Amino acid sequence: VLWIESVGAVIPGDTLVDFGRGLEINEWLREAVTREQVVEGLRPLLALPLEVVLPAHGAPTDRAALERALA
Amino acid sequence: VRELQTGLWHWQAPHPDWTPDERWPQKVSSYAIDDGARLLLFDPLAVPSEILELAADRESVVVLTAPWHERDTRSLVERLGVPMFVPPPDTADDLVRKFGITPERAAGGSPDLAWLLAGDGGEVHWYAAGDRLPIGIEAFPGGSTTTLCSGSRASER
Repeated sequence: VLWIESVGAVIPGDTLVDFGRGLEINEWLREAVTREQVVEGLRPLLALPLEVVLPAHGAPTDRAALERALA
Repeated sequence: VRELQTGLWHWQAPHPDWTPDERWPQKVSSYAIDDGARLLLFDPLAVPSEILELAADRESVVVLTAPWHERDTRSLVERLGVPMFVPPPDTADDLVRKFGITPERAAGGSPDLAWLLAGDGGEVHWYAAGDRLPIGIEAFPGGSTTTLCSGSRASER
């Protein structure tokens, strides 16, 4: 999961995806980590001046979508 | 291709390896970020001509979010001679430890980016969660930094 400060963007790779149900943690991808551990690792992103989330699967979305995905 | 904000582009293209059995939609997203001097290409597939023209005028870099998101990276590296930033694919030991497969099945490690590991890819920078890349990027931990060897489970690409 990448943070690009110059444009306020998170690029989450396959960790956060939109397969048609909105941005969500890719439960299938997790390997030996719990959902809670993924959330814990990504929660610091919400403290950043985040403007846009750019998933590899799905369309660009916003901070609110990331908040819902990590809720 | 759509410019989301100044210097940030998004486009989608059908993935050539997609089949109807995949969990993921056929069209996948790629992005480009231009800061006026450097152009970052993220998980690039079917890069639009206007982005390629811009890449020729910039210090361009390919950034993969996963080793299995190679997409059109090899052709871009060969065509533009750009450096890459990418998480390393699993070694054979990684596959045995993480997925419990036999050493025989894991032999050779993940097939992802084999051409790069063979030294055919020019400048490559391996990164991991926690790294701050010298191109204005910070890497956070995700659900995985690895994939499985072929046949054990299909990966999203």
